[in-house]
Amino acid sequence: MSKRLFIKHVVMAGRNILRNKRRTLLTLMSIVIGLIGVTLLDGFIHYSMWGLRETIIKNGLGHIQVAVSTQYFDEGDMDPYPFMLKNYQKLGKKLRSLPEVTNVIPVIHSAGVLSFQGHSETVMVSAMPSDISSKLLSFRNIIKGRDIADADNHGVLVGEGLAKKLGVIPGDVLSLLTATKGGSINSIDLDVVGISQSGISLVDDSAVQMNLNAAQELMMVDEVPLILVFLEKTEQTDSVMLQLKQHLLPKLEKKTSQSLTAKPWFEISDYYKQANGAYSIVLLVAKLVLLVVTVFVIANTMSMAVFERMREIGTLRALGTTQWGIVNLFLLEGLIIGIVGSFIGTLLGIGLCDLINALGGIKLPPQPGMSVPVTILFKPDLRSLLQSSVITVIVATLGSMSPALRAARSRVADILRYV
Amino acid sequence: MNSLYMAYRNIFRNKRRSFFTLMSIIIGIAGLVIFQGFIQNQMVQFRQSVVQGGLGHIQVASRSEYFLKGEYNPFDYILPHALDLDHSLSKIEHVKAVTPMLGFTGLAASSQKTISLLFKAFPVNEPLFATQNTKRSDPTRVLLLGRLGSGTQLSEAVPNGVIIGKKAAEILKVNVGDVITVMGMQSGGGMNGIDMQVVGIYKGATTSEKYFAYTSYSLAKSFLAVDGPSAYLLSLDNLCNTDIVAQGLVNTKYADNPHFTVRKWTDLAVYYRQVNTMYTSFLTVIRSILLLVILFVIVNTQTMSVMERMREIGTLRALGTTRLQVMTTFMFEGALLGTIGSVLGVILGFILSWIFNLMGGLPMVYDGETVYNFFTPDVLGMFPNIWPVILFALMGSILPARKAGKLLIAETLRFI
Repeated sequence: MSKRLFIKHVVMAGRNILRNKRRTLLTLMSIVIGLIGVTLLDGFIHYSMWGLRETIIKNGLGHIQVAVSTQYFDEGDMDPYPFMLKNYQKLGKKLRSLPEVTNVIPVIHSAGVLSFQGHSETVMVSAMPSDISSKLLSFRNIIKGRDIADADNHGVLVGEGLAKKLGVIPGDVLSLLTATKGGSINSIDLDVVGISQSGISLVDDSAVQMNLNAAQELMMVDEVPLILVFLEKTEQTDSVMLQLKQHLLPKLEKKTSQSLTAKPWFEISDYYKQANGAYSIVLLVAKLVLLVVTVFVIANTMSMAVFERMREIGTLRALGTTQWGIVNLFLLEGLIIGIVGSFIGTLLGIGLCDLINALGGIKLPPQPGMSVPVTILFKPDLRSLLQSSVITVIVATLGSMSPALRAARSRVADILRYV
Repeated sequence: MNSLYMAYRNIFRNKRRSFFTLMSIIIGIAGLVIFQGFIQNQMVQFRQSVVQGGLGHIQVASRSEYFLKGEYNPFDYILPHALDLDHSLSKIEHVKAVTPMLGFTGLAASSQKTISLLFKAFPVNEPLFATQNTKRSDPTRVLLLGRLGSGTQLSEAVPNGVIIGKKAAEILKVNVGDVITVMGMQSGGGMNGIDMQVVGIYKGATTSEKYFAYTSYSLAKSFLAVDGPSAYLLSLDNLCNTDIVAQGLVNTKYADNPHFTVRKWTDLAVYYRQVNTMYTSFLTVIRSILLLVILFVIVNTQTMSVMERMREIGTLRALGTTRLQVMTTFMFEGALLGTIGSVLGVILGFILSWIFNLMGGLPMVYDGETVYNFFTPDVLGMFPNIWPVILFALMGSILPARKAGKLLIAETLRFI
């Protein structure tokens, strides 16, 4: 086809669109509506996944964990002594020097027995420097009392479920028993400064958080077995992991003469794997359903608009427009409407998301394993919005092209008589 | 009535447009029905796995504190023999099986390592696990604690048999056939040690693989030196009977006994309750979005339809039809479209679900295993899908119809 004819077709398609404004509005609106729906759902999905991820990371997992060996991640929380990192301050400083890293926290996770007035419970102790932890673990919620401050070396935060089991309130004094490095048993008295709620019930039933210094004193060690690395953005995890594995860790291994290994958050969190699996399936099916519906509504409207113009097609054919000319014309019309419609639809969809967010979002009941209700906001992801827009444009084009193709192929006399 | 008849005739006059509007509604509703069926099926399966995973439909224990802190510390909560619960519970209508249960903590040691494990003990006359050859879910089973990766079920043949998780086996460096030594408390405060033979290794979530182990009820009884279970699990013929049976139990002769507390599975399965509310809210979000799309489609077509029929409206008005009559005709038209569309949509949704199920369900990879998901929408759950559409269709027609009614007759007649 010559360039001139193509330009002529583009102009004609444009004029056709502007000619019957009512019909254009109808088709345009169906695309806009469909895309608003898709954008909303997309925002919902993206926010849900994001919320799940960030809660887990900021609850004390960190983006990347560094330990001496992968074995630590299986066994270290029960018996951390064989896995102590040598020279952890220096390691932390080196890790901190990466531009993406915002924080590095040395931690000790260990099992212990907590006693209060004759009752004992096996607990999971996590200990980290209290000045960083209270700032960084933003999703941790203190429901009674206060957070551990720098000054209270022997303060302890008790999980909500655990506090209920033992019957402790802030101000009580507990004793914590644990095995020490040498194999003997040591105990320490701790003041309950607050009751914490992480949102994950499994954690809240057995967790105690304390200051790193106190834990080191109790366990008679100077080292820690684990370093948590927090990044600026969760998306940087993969690239930082690569950097660590290829450059930094081998270098540090040599410098501190020990083996080192790093694990990203998604390989560590069992809960994430489980919840993410359940989430993704349901949301994927939801998206699939909505996309099919939207695609159908758009294709439907587009082809209806063509059917209403059958006689027009007949006239054009009778005046000498070729079959391909007709198809080309409708293809261009569909394309233009598709592009304009998906652009407007996406913009309106994002606007609606922002509006709902500004109004405070939608309140949802607690997520699985979580004890705090969540507010759902809509945060559409630009990449998947682009995908849906492209799909929409293709569907709009094909939707108007297929009846046009049928019409172009029929006998001119037949379509002229079409009602 | 006249307006309704007119509306009906109008729908069939412009068949093409009505058809396309109907199709949009039908597809939207059918999609919603399929999604609802999917969610419902997930929940049914989840319920089943929760109940079979060691919870039972109803649990009977001695005191309510048992459920807070006695699950793995049974000594203060052993059910007294004198009540003869085993016998009388099994006689209750709808009760399919009564399973005694004991839980305890122990230190498990292999030649390599020592870890602490949480044990649960059940009678082993029935298989407790799914194997690689059996289906992942089987509604007829009383208990289905997990899936065996290797080894065999617990049985009387190996009286000191134990089934541990894959992770625990890795940490202990033991395999099927190896012996682990388990140390734990005995009733009265003494310590006891016993050699248990690993007969099977199960696969599950990493956390449970690491901490949970299963052994036989008779072994646990002698190990703990107790003479009864800490709780009975009641498995019913149907999940729907849970409330009736629980209510019946509360009203029996045991009611005043201090050694008798009843809990339904819904009280105990916190995770299930949360997933249930979450799925329900997913359904609400999807429903709202789909209904929003349908509402817009109806408003869209009705507006077009009013505009295209301006001259017709003018003629009708000139012939003496009142504004109200014009408006009601359009509203009825919308309502009719909505009703027909949503009912047909529900029917199509059911048919499509049925076809998908016949084709073998929707395959999805979950936990490294391919799981087939089925669609089981339920008729009662359809009302929240249908009535909003009809209402929307009615409301969606008001605005354009009002506009049409308000115009001057002369103007409408001149409208192109």
